[in-house]
Amino acid sequence: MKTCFVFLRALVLLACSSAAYSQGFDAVTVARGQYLATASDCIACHTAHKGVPMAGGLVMASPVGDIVSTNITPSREHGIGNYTEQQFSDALRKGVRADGQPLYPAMPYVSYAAMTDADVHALYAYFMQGVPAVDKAVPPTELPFPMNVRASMKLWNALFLDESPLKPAPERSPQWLRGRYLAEGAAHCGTCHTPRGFLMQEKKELNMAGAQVGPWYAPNITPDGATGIGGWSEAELVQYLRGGRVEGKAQAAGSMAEAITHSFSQLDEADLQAIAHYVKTLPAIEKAEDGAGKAERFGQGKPGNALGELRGKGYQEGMQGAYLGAQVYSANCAACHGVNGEGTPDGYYPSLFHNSATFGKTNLIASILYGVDRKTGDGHVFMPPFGDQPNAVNHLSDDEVAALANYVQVRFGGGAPTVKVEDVAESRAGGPQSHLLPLARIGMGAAVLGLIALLAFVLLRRRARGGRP
Amino acid sequence: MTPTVIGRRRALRFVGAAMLSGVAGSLLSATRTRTFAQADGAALAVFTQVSGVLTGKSGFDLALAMGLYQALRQTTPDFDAGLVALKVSLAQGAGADGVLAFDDEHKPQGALAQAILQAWYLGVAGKGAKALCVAYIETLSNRAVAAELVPPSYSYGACGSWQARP
Amino acid sequence: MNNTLSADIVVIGAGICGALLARRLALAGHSVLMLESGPRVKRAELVERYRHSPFKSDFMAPYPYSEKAPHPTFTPEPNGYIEQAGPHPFAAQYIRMLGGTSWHWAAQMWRYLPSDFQTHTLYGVGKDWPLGYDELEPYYYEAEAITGVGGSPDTGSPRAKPFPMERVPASWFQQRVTERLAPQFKVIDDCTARNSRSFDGRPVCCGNNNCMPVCPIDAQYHGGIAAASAEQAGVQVVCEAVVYRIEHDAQGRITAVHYYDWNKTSHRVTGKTFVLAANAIESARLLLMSASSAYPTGLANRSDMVGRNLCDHPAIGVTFDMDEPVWPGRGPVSPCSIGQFRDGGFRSEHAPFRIDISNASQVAAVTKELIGEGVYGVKLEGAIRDRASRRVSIKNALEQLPDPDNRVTLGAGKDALGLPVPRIFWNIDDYVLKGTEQTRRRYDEIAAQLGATNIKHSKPGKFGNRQHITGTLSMGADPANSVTDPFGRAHDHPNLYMAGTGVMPTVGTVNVTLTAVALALRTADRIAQELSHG
Repeated sequence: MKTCFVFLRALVLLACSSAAYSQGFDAVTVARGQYLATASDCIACHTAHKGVPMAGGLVMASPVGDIVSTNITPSREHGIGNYTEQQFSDALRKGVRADGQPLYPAMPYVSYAAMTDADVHALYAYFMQGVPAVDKAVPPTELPFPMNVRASMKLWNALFLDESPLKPAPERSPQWLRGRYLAEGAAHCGTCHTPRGFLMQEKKELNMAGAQVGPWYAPNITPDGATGIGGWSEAELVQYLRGGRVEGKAQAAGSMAEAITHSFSQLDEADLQAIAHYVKTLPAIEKAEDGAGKAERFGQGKPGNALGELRGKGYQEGMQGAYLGAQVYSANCAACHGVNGEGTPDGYYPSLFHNSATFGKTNLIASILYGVDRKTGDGHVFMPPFGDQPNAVNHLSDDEVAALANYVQVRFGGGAPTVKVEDVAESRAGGPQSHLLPLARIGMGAAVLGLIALLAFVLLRRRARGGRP
Repeated sequence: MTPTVIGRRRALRFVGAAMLSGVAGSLLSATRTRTFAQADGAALAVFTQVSGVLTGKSGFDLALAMGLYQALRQTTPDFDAGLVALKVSLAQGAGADGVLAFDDEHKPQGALAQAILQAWYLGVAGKGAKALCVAYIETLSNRAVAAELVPPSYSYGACGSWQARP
Repeated sequence: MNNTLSADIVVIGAGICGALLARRLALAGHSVLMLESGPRVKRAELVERYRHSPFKSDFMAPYPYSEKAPHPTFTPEPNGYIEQAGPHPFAAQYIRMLGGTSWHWAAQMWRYLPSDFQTHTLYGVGKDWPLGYDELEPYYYEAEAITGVGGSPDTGSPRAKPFPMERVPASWFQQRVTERLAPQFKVIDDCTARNSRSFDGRPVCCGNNNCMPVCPIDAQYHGGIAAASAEQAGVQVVCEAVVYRIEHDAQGRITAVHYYDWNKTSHRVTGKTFVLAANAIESARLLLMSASSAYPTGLANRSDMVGRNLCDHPAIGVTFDMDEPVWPGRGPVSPCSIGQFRDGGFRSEHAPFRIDISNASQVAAVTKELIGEGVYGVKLEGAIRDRASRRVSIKNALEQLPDPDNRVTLGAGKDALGLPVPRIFWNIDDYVLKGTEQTRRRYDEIAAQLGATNIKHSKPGKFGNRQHITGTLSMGADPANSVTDPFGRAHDHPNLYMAGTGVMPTVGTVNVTLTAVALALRTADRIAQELSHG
């Protein structure tokens, strides 16, 4: 019986896959699919560190546990080689995999739901024909209970998945529509930049108003004047997406640096302009990073130094005293960023004032601990990490990072020190954890206890009434 | 004007407090500096006047001047008396064409003049085991070349930014 | 006495050679323990100590000194750690700390020339090595790949593969000097382990011009990085462990080493294989200190060669002011050199040499000079600018031939742990003196071609040390006149190996670290091979 079933299943699969392969996609479609895959930045999640492109295996720390990306090469055994176009589309836009199980929304299907059938077709063509198959298995994602019960995602999708997220807007220009299509769809900006609710859904009313992503903060990119990018021109936005940097304003690090390297820097100029145009028309939302205050985050700070406070102290003394932050800055940062935080004349090492990275605290701490690594057409920008990494040849402790960050904030940033040692420890651990997991467990535990109590009550009552049938 | 020139000079001009590197002990702690300034204003005035003649500069940063003065006092015996003598020699004309020339009788003043120049230009007071480094980036020698050179251990920019003619 | 530490392989000395050898063996799955006499110090501290130092031209000044693991120091006064017994002082500079001396170098990583390995056969002088360039070539490349070496391909050292790193762009100073000296002198980019792009998770060079005494950002490779990578590979590292005796059994197998911690508590460490990588002077010292009744002249010393054949590259220099402003001090400190006098038939007559053109900032030097000349007032600032922009500083590296009388022995004095200090006899022979005459001629030609004024040669008869210390543990095929076999294994003790510049029989015409690292990697492979055969 079982052999029969296996044989029949093999026949069916063979029929399906031959159907897929017999189409033979043309080069233009495959190329368009590749461009769309670049715009969607599939490679960033679906490639392990130093791994083969699209072969999965990247372990991503989420607030509810580690998620391992899947092999999406056309490998029959370990990838999506057996997927029909319908199955591919369902995975992409509905978050359902070929075996019917839901995907976790770490895969941004809620954004990709915006993509057109034609674009999905092109992507399918690319993944079936343009990506080399990699026959290597990837460990499955195993979130802690109860998150590993994928069936619960069906309810989540019912609540939060809009299968047609882009409402018609006939009054808008083609450029705007294209920009919206990319920003809300393929480029899935909201996945990082939109804050999430308790059940980890994007809060649409705060679209693009800024959110925590692991140890980094994806800032407010609505056109609010102070807390958002209202002060940026569309050209500056395009420059940022192309090269990761606008001098005197901001530079990309963490996941955004990756997104720029793998995705934005390779898009057409027209598409970048469309994205910039659309983003600048988003509803402006005044929302600052927690604790950052409402001041304009790009123009803060001025050059200056604290060597006067270190006068008379050798290094060891400086590291013990009240000016720890100044000492750590001088010993670790000034060699590139300058004694006065002014950077270098060519701007390669940015100034630390008039720099949004020093304005809040999350990205300041993360930059120090994790560094910056960004490759674009402009070259490779690299700041080493100062955390626990093997290449952090100068490891800094939580106390040292906190003192340094506060020094930078006071001298070059918003002017007030807001960094606590616990903030650094949390960043070092990968960012804030969600309460969802422990609360879900508590909730389930309470429910189970409640059931047991009810059952016990019923049983006891029955016994008390004697042996009546 | 090249960006290099503006950038570096502007950056240096922004220095508010003096930039003083470590000096052994609490020689230059803020409170001591303040009390010192009140008590020995006259001595400092002689020092800055003599320094002005020796360096050809005026408008010294007060905190830097005080730091150097204290370090020189610590490392040079009878510094204040020597200062007065040197002031007199300089007034009498101890160097024409920008070269100091002291006869044998005034050799000690010559040595003192060089010690003061070393302090301002190289940030170091004293010699040998007594030597103290008082300043590094703000030394007059580093300021003199700031348009073209960055003091060692600070940076120029992207790799290769030193290719261009300064 | 503490007896708790043990490993399959015990490495004494955590410099660049010891650390990379240890790392290689750990990656191959062996248990490795590395003992370092000095402390663990952070780069941040070294950078700040440099900035606060009143003796900025002393590259040793930023490094913390302890009498528990003493090394020569020079400011404010020389500490006289090494007793000088010869006509020329051997002013050795080395750092006893985790990572060793290459913390303060300019990352020069050159291959020898093929002829450097056989000067006796070719020119009738010096010694032939017990291996040739071709045998070492693959290890040269591995060492370059680990450390990130780039440079000019026109060195005379053949390569199977191109450099793993692109060269660092030349400063305006280097460009002008190169143009002005051509065609008579060919100035080439140095081969350096310096990042011209971010490599190995370390940043790219930003032109701190502080390579010596310490790179503030680790854009250049150094022993500290090697030691960190060894630890990451699983090597157990113990610092502040001053090995003072190597213990052996009746058959001459090494059974243990003894070290003092900095409280002078003695510890005994056992192992199967031992590697001595404590630099050419301290390793010889330790072997001599470990003399026993069975080995009265010291361990590994039946040949009486331990400590002998001490060589460095004696150096003479010249400074002058070029006729155009070129502003040295921008970019790396040692970027270029002239190599055309390294090889040729003349080597049978006089020492070959390499000419190094410095790109270090000359501001402090010319300022001291001008103040000493009495310049003051407004004239001083202009004079500083003038000289600092035109000051060229050149020095060379002359090949010294191995002479058994040039040697490291044990001195009469004792250090703070009661151990005998090293004593060095060093002399300079005619071979080198004739080479210096040639050098001076070339210096004058170079000066003339650059329109030089204010030319100052170093004092005749006086030589600087380049710290390329070789010979004291020379390898060779014949146990009668060498300390180790061609793979660095002691002739007299089957489980004792040696790594570092001390095993190099000749000093060649170029900085020695790359050769020493390549040999160390080869020795590691040999050790692994021996261990796998049981």
